[in-house]
Amino acid sequence: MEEQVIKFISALRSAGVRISLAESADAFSAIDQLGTKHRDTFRLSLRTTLVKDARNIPIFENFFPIYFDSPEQASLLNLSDEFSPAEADMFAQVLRQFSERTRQMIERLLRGEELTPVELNRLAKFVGLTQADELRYQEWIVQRMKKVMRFPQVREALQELVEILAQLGL
Amino acid sequence: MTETRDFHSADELKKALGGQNYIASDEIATIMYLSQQLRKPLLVEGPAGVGKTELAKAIAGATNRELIRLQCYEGLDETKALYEWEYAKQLLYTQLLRDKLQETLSGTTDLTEAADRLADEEDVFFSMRFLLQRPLLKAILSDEPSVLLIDEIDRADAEFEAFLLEVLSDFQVSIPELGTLGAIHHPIVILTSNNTRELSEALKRRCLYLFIGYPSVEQELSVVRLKVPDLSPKLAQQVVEIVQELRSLDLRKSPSISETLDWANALVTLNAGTLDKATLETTMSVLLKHESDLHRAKGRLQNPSSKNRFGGTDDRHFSSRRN
Repeated sequence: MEEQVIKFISALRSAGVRISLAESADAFSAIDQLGTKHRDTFRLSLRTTLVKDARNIPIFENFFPIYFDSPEQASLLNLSDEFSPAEADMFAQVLRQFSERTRQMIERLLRGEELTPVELNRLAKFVGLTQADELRYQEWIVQRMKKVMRFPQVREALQELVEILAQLGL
Repeated sequence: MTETRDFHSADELKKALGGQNYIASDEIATIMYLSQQLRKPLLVEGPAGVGKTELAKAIAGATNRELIRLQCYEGLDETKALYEWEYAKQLLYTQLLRDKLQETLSGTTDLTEAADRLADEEDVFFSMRFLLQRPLLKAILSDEPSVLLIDEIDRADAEFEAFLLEVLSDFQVSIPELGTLGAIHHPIVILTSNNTRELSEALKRRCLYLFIGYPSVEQELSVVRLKVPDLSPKLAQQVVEIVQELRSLDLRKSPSISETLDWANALVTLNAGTLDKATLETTMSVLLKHESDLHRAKGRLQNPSSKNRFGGTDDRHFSSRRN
């Protein structure tokens, strides 16, 4: 559990929430005091020690279920910090499908057609978040991508994507 | 002297606050409980009038502690917050003791010797007797456990925050003439802020954080029912619905819970049985204090697309029985 909390704090920091060492120590004291059994108590113990600005509360509430709720509720990309080979395979698959769709989308663009917001949203879902437009999440996304790139099948799939884009003159 | 009370759970704390007529959400109760357990000050932020100060008062009542309040304002400094010497009193004593002073200084040959002799007696004039204790010092020196409420800290400046931080870290203060004075009891510390400016990182680091926003319909309704029991349930419901709708408008100053309660009380005083157009127009200014806001509100509430709440002709919607 402690490891999860550390990862969680790390994620918050990537999203721009400034958390000092003293505050993370407070977070651990808090969960020592109140325990981890009750979800809401646990959540509030972390929130009151780590988040000191009301504007960061939505970010906290977005990330909390990802790190502490059961895997079924979390999306594929956020299951664990490290990717297993099976997960990397699935990711590569998705990437290939994405390549296909991307090619189609770009061809349509070249023909003068517009992309619907739905299609643009797909991009966001692909990364696992519905607020990909938030600049704050960028660094967190970059870190996740770096981790998943360690797998060769992912690199291959990405390479294919790059080639497709190159063919289309981008 | 009644025993001061510590709570064994957030639930117990929540009930105790209820006993003080303060309706606390689970969130508020849990975080307040954590503040007690971790012995860390609590910073409560939120729009004006949502119950931040009331929380401090309620917790003081619930724990049987004295409430010591430091109201912050622009220009508040150490002197006004901590202590000052009661200069006038010191002068008075000097005058009245003049003869005695003459005696003490007799026999001295020069100014230096006289000054030295006087310095020996200094303790008389710089003792607790002449120390004007302001809230922070009161809280430190208090014989009984207390709740220290530092209200609207965002109105004070960054310099004051830095000073406050020092006091909050060890709960002791050094007064040159008297030495270092430490606290017998650590007070429960609650700071409130209306969010008018960003507080210093150092201060926020020190505290646990609680944000109290505007209440939900259910929460606000329970507060109105509790605090203004003479208002009919039906009217209370309408009052809350209107206020909630007004908050969705872009007003200069959104009505807070305290204004909702003022309005509810006004309606009771006026013996209003229904919330018809006339009553609304006359009492709306209790809720909204800016001309531009009143305009906007009237515009929205008369908008045909909103629910037909008012209108003298459509009295079927309202019950005219009282209570």
